[in-house]
Amino acid sequence: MSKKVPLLSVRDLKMHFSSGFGKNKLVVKAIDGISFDIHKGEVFGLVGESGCGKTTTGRTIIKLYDPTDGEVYFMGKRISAGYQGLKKELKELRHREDLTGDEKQKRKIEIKDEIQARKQDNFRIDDTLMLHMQMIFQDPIASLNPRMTVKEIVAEGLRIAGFKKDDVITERVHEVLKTVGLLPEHASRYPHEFSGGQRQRIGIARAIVVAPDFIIADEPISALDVSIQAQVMNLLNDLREEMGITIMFIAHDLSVVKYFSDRIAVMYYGNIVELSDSDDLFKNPLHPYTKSLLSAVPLPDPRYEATRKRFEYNPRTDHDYSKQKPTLKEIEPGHWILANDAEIEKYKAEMK
Amino acid sequence: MAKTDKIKLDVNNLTVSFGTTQGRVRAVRGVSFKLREGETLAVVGESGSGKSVTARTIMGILAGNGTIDDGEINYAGEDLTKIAEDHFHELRGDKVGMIFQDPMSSLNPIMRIGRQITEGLILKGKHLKNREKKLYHEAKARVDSLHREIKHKKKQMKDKKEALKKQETEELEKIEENNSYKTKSEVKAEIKQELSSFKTKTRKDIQSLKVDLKKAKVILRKDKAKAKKIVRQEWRDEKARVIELIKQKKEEIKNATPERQAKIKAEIADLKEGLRRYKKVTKKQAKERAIQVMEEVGIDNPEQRFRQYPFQFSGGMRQRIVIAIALTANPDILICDEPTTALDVTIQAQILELIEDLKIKHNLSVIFITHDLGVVANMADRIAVMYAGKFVELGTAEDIFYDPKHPYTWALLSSMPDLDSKEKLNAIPGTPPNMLFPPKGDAFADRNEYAMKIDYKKQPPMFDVSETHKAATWLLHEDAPKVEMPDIIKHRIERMLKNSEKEVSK
Repeated sequence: MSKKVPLLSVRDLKMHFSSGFGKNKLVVKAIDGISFDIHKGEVFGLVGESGCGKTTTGRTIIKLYDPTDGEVYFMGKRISAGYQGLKKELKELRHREDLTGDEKQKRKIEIKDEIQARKQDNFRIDDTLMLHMQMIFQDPIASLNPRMTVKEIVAEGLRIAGFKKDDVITERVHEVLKTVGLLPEHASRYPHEFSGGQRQRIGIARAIVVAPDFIIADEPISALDVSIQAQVMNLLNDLREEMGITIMFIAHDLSVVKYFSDRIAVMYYGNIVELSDSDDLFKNPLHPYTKSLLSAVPLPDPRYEATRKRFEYNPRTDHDYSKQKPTLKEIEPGHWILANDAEIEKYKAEMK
Repeated sequence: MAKTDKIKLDVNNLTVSFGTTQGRVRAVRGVSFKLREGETLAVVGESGSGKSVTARTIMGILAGNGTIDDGEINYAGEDLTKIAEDHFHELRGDKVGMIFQDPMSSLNPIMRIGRQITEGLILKGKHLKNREKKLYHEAKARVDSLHREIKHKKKQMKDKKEALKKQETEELEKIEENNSYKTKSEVKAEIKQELSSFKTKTRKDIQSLKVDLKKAKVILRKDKAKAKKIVRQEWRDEKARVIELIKQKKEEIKNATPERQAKIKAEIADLKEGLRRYKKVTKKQAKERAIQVMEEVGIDNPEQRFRQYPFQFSGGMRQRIVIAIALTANPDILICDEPTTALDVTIQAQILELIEDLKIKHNLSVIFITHDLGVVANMADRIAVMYAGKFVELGTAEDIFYDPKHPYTWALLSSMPDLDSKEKLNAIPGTPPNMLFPPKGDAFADRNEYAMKIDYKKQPPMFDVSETHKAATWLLHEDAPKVEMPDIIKHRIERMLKNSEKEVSK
């Protein structure tokens, strides 16, 4: 792994959704403080069960949601930041006893400046920068506008990017359609005329038409049929090799993620519990949740299946966090795990 | 696993098609299999290969435009393709249960869970009516079969008429091309003659059948009345018995201690409930059963959950409820139509374990439809690979995974990565054939890199590989060139076998 500036880095990102007021107020902590880096040219896999915040992570990074707290840096620039945490700190500042009045005043100004800066960053989006980040959505049926032709769908990004001449756009669209394995004459058709796999190809074409550096692929194959899954996977693999695109691959199918990714992060209820090289993660999983997830994957091998035992994961009994809260720690180079000090010792012993 | 050789379900040359505006879609084209007691048969294939249609035909819930063109489904000595809808009600759910694909859409969103689980029990639980029906069942079956025969004869007549018309036009064309020695009028007369003789013959048959039908109807009416009388009498007797008992108890109450009184009152209530249960499945009884089943499928707090709506459940829990609904009537055969496709890995593992447990506990025979090969390896005793409405390979789990023979099975296996694969995946090129115009030869030939000339001309029969293993591909014919399976699968199988040996040596 190179020591260069990462393409994307996420710092302590939080995304909370609240509903109701007063007594009925309910806060869902979809993402609760995750940090990771994605380097240029790699495929970063994100796995976890449904409802653990994988999709929310993807959508927050691409600014479909405004984060509650934390920062997202893309190509060295801050593109999105939340400030609820700072606001909270500001509120509590008055009651803090470890600081003197002057220090409090100083800190207050600091926080206010920071909040202002973050607001500015959120407000002034660099459009040219955001064009380098694109997303492929999960459901190819719901994510394509049924009233637009394929050309319109694919060209929309180009128009936003500032292309105005129609023949340039048409040429580019045809080129991209060829890349994803569709024919130029498909450009004048509507999405309903295509099969599921072809629709997903349109979704991919829409993402790559502006030549992005980074694609967030949110379960691009889980809604597809078996034989078509392989086609789409091969297509993504080709794109990655030919165009050098960095991909964040969100999925719940572990064998697919393993096949596709260089590094994998495992999420559980809004937290990353383990992050490692994909081979390493599958060879020696350390966190009990990762183990339970791996033990649940059925493989096309009857004899192995007959002996496979599933581990149950129960966060209440498997951890003892009464003394110290867990944090994401690097247990060996490139292998991060959510644990407290006592557990790190335990995991280290396990590794030997 | 309690496996016997007793055959539960015998499907023979089942052929199903759907009528559409463009023509007939041949969804299932001659599927035959036997399902043994306590066995799991997995059906794998792409979407649109006819897996679900096969299952739905067995359940008797084909869409309105679907017809069974040929074949039979034998269950407990009866052919399910021939019995009347009335009779099918008794089998469906009671004997053959089904779990549907999407737990989101197979539950009614505005109906409480409890009502959905008990619905079937209460609907089918009119004991008196059921008993009456049983008593006149024979006469009813006779009438139904006569009705069917008459319909069949009428259809025959229509078909014959059309066939002759076609023949006539053909022959007339021949005359115009001077290829025939007959004249036009001769041909017309001949055909007319044939048609009229056929018509008179069938008309006679229909006439006699109609006479029979009239007689049968009279018998049915008599039997119905008789049955009604018997059942009513039984009901009256039972009622009188219970009322007598209650009277006695009420006498007792008058001179008893207060504690004893309460006890007797409870007894009276029980008696009343018992009487109600003699008549039908009461709501209370259905609730008891539902809660028992809910516990069985692993739903916590069934008493509270009973009154909740589907949206208050997670995906896995919803699937458990769908399973509970299928289980209320204690079926023999459980058809699972992609029960875990919409779920994620951990929940999928739980549901699969649940189905496996229930299967052993109730000695169920399971037909498991899926396209996930990992799930298949976990669940199945035998596997059928389906493509374009046909079984292309049928064998035990070991046969299919360690020694696959059909190119389509190879393609399926090599299109999914497993945890160790690094190679480029072999995607299956193209799409499945349009079943409006089923191909003449092997349906997979167009997408098959091993296709030979004969594949385009003639459909391959089922070749026996071993006693348990069959495959429909010309590659198994003795004159065919030797073809090795693709490297990606070969490597994988070698790896899997090595791993399993390692396990054993441990």
